Amino acid sequence: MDLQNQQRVKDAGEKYGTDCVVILGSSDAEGAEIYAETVTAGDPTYAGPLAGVSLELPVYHVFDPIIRAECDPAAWEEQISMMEMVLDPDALAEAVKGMREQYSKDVIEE
Amino acid sequence: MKVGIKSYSYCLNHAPETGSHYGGTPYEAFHSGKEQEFLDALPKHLQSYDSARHYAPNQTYIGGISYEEFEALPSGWVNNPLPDEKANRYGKFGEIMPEDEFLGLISACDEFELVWLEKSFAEAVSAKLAQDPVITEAIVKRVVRPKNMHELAEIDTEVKDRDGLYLYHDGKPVGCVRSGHPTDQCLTAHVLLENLAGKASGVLALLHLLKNSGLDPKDLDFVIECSEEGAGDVGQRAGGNFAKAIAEVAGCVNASGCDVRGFCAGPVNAMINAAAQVASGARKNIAVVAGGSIPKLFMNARDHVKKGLIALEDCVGSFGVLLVPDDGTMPVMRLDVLGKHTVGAGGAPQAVTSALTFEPLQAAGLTFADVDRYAPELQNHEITEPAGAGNVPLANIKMIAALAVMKKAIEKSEMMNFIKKHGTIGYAPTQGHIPAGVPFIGPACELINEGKIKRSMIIGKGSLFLARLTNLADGASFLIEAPEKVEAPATVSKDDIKAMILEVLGEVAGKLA
Amino acid sequence: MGKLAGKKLLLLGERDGVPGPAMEACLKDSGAEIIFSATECFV
Repeated sequence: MDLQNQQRVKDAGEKYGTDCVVILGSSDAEGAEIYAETVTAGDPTYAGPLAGVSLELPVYHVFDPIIRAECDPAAWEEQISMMEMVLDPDALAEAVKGMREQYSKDVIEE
Repeated sequence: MKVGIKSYSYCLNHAPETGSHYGGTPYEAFHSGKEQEFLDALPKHLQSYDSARHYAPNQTYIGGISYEEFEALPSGWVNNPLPDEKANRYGKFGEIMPEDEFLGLISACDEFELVWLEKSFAEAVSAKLAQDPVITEAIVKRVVRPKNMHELAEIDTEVKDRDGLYLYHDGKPVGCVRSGHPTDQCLTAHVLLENLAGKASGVLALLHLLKNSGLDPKDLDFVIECSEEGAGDVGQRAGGNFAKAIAEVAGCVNASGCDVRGFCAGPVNAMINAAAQVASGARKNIAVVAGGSIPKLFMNARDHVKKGLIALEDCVGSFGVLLVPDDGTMPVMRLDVLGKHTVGAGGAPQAVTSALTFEPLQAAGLTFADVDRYAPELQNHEITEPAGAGNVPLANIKMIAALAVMKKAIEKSEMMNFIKKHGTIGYAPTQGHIPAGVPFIGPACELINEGKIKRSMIIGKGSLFLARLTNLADGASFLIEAPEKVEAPATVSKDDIKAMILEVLGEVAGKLA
Repeated sequence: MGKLAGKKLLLLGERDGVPGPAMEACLKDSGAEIIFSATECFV
């Protein structure tokens, strides 16, 4: 994850704690997993400000049904629906879920 | 309105040692001091020049094998090296230059005594460069200018006491890039290395372009350079002008030039800019040229090292395209229907894809299937997938197919077929602006000339948000088509012209009398 | 009341996936506050 974005997540996480919800738009399941790990357990590459920092933030892919249900349907149609055909929404949501179940606190109740 | 695509060139400069020290990721890791393990491991993951030459995507880029041959190869290119007879230094479009010669070429491109090479190294690479069919005698001589050759002890002092950066070959220092100013952050040795390497790789692409087109360097009218580098000083940190600097080294004494920027969309914007100038008659011909990027070398190497893979991001990429007036004999670039991502279109992928594909096609009275091959992004997925960045070319072709479904141009069940038939597989190095559509201009023209396709769309997308100026993305696209045979103009004989001139002169004389 | 009401959203988009502004447009009326939205590009 970009070092500047890690810093922004760190600042927000330290200020608001697990009231923060991280939502990812990654295209690749493995990439999504690494991002989810970064905002929960810490930066696995040890390169950025989140190295060794466990924020334990609740994290979701935007394709997770919980998040999708909260999105404005008209906006979804216009902004995201095409990418549902391009990407693998279930695999992306699952990859992030795996990390969330291991490392996140205060997840959204289903 | 159309312009002819006369010729194209594509080159790679193998630069693993320069990249492993000064590529953005390793350089950042070195300075943060947090990633010694990665830095220690990286050299063990580099591939030799010989391996780089046998690597199918590299040969496809330089035209050593055709795009169709590449497409037919089994995936897993790194484990399936090409046979020796298909792994030459030179291809139809350009070459893969070894790193020692690249350092020599960088030194030849230096006008300000910024690059020092150790004397025996400079002499050796000068002799090697002399064997390259496009390298001019003037360039060969510039490598061994006394002011650019120094003893190792002097090079050590320059690095240790004056903020220079070593240049390496076979693990040993063989020269340095000097700092250009004691305080100006735009003229540090690292920035100057970036810019001089961009210039040198651009020179190589222009030299191959001139050779491929048969154009005398003196007949080149204008150069538009479209890399992502910024050359300037503290007063104007990206003032330019790479184009003119490149034209100078290539001996294009009658050319001028300017730079066009737009992140990865730069080359497509430059093509449109150049084509418009040629079509309007403002310029006789224009070479669109871009050198490559040192900072992008080993951008994803952290993941390659972690996974025990070869760090494949070891080549600086460059390209050139020569645009001339359309004469009905060569593939053409259309100017009447261009893909334009407007400010108001927004950043949603469907809005971007629509602006770049559906809208220009609709304006041309065409539909999605009328484009034989789309070239939106051509990054090599063997590099990006292990880094969690996915298969970018495939994702982009899928976006076009998905949009075609939404526009009811194809059935959803036909998506995979559409992708296979109309898509392209990426083979370009992850050099930012280099993979953004333009590598396919060459193969598209070849396929058109062979009568295998009629139309291709070249698409470039740029991530403008990286500069923190705007959250907008950018994109542009154009169509390449088979030429329309023009009617041969009625011939005029020399005698006719003589008679006309005499007649006019007679009239003039009459008026003067 | 939506499940995100009162939450602070950090949106990390990707150019070749779902970009930040697209997620922003979909979630702006979710009752949550969008702290920041970013887009990354890997190529």
